[in-house]
Amino acid sequence: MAESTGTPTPRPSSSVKLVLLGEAAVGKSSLVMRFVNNDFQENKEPTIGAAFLTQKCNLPNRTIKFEIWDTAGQERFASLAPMYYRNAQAALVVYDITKPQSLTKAQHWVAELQRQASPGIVIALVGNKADLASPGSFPAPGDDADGVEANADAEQDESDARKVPTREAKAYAEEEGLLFYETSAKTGQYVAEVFTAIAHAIPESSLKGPRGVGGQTNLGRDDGARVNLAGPRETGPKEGCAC
Amino acid sequence: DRYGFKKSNQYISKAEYDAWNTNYTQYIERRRKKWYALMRAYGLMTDDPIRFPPKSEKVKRYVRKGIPPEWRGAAWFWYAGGPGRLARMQGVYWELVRRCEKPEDEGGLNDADREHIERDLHRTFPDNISFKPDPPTTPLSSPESSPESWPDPPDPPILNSLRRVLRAFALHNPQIGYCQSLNFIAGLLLLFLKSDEEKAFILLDVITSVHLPGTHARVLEANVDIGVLMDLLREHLPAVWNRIDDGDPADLNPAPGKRGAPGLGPAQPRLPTVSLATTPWFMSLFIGTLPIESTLRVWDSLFYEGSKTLFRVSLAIFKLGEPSIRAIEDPMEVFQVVQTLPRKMLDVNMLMEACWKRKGFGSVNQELIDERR
Repeated sequence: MAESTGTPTPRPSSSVKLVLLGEAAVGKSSLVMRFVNNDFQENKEPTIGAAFLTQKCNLPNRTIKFEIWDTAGQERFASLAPMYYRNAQAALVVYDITKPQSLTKAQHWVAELQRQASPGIVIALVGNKADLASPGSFPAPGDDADGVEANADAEQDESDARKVPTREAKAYAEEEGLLFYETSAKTGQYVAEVFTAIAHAIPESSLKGPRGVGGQTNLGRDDGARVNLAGPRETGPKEGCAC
Repeated sequence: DRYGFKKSNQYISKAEYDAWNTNYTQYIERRRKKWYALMRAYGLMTDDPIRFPPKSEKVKRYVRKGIPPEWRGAAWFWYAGGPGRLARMQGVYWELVRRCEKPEDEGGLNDADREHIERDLHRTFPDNISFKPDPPTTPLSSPESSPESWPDPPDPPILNSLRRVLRAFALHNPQIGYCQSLNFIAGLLLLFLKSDEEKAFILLDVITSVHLPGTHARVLEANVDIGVLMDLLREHLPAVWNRIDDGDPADLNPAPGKRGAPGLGPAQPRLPTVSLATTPWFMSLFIGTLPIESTLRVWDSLFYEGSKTLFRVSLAIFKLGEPSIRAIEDPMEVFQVVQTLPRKMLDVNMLMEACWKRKGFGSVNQELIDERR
């Protein structure tokens, strides 16, 4: 395998294996499509098995190449999931803010990852379809550093399809030490931010050049790896993931 | 296109499609004439036929070269043994449809399957004209109302048929219930069976019991097919195999004739990472993997010759992709190539030639597949 690309790059570049997990139809593929192609498709076809995509993300001092495994959501495909999260350095566990059941499923995935995946895996909990919440309950960009604080206690109104309060999911994420975002693959809100935050959260020590074959197996048990909601400390407008 | 799908996509440009389609339209016309002659020779009607010539070397050749689009569904049904099955299962479908209305504890469909089917209905061929809801009718008739006040357009009839077929099937085969990918298969069947739900149901039953046993089950056995394919790949295309093999090949080969442990515990033989790209090849019968015309041609032979077709087509895809696969070092890039390769394979005649050439994969026959599964 190529030890390194050999071409001089301004920033050191490293690959990060990332897996998407979550119930069917919560928008996993749509998040990836937004992140990779900056595109959105209504009624996206269900994923069978899994899809693999890559996308680069530029940080101030390094470039991260995400190797994204987008998995099928239906329960019976769950038996295949270990093949995808094996050696993953990051996971995006997605739920649908209009489906409480999907948060429960997401919590199961988080527990399984904490039990079975590489120690030190960076997990982000993502509530998707935030565009379906009434405007009041979805914080606009810039409201808050990590995008979820504002309006966490917003009252439910009738036109609001939201069924999972931000507060509830956020409290859970805090407890488990997960990154947390509410996104809309449809409008693009906070999609790039999730990936940028993950890129920041990957400990330097687990980045090993372009690739360790089959994923890195020697991830240190780095307690600093589970970053907290403080989130990306230095996310400026200049840098970020191509999106 | 001629089936109501979009001509171009991320992988095939409109220009590429048009360039191919000009010749292919003539090709279909030539084949159609041959089929008409064949049907007449057997004294069969050619106007919406339901009966087709008995199987023979000649007919097999004709099928491999493509069934006329307008006869496809009927010919699939005929060669898959549909009429016999239908006779044995007279009335079963409509009885199931009735039972689906009942609550679960009275023999009806469980809520989970019901919900999962509903979730995928609108995600089945959203770009196909038949599966799209009609656009809101004549906005001019009510100039005052704003678009937001228009009611949701009703589901197109084929979605209602799809819902009934998937529900009835889930009830009929509780080992499978509803599995994602069946929506695509049933949808394509309905499209070509002129929405004859009972026939679509019968063929769905044939596919899941004869051609892909276990593949869609609640305890998913999709990897059994993939394991067999990887075995064949190693034997027939060693250069490709060497490029994709990132596991221990010794693990891959359980004693012949034995199925691996059900499910996918840690004891499951390790498949090379690239093999995971082939899951939808089997589960969705190449829908979404190959361009639609290529998929239909595969189905022509699948219903006539059986599941060996799927394996030989898969090998042909790897064979045609061999130069691009061997040109790459990075295993993850190989994965992307294998994932993308078939989506561009518009030239189905070339694919089929590679697939059926005796010198190529002639030894991959149905007995071998059945034994290795």
